[in-house]
Amino acid sequence: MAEAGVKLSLDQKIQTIRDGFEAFKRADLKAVGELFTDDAVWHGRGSTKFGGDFKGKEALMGNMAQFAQTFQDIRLDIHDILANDKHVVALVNSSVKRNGKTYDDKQTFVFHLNDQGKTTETWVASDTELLKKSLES
Amino acid sequence: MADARTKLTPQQKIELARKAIEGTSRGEVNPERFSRDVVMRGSLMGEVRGRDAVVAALKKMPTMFEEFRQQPHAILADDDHVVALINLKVKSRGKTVDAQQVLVIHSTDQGEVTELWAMIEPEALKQIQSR
Repeated sequence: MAEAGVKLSLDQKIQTIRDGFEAFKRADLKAVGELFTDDAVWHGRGSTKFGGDFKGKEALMGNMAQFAQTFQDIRLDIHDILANDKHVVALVNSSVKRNGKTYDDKQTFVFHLNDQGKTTETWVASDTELLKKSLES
Repeated sequence: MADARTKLTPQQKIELARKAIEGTSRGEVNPERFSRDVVMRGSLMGEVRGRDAVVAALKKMPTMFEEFRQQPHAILADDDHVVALINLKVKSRGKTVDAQQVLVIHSTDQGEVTELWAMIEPEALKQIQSR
């Protein structure tokens, strides 16, 4: 993580997000949490319990922990990550299991990072109908 | 149009995508921008294969609604992909639906589109399709 006042390059921002996914993969939610500002907002889509806005690090990490507890064999494989000054976009092939069934999706995560590489806002574009179906199973 | 051997920069691909998105909202689609065997997978149109079919589907899109406006919020590119984050406004039977759309474009080094994914949140899509 860059020191306060040091502006991260696009490659560094991409690496920060890549590190975040790696931390999630090894269930290191503490490391994931360090990538967000205290007042970060997570915009989930759809009408399930994972949809809507989660405001503040505590709320969004709670949402993430609940997701990890709801599904098994969660795989988030990064297909590509792109960045510009305002956004980092991760194209992710995802797979989760619940009650013996596997659900595959192609998800897009859009992150706003500040110059120090902390995430201030996240949007998730995913198949919310599939998510709903998986929760009903 | 770049020379056949000229590799476009990500910035050039971004500009091509921006013009193409603006054109699509007006029903203007340039067939030369697509490879002959292009595949489009979209929330609104399903899977469409081949240049002629994709161009026809993209031209048809704005005619399906009273208003169909794709406003790019941001377009990013690297060597492999162009990703457009779009604020989509669709008006049908007097009702307007605002949705966020993500376009993921695979293109050749010369900017010819080989694969196009156009994703709209399914629940917003339902509202659009129920009009």
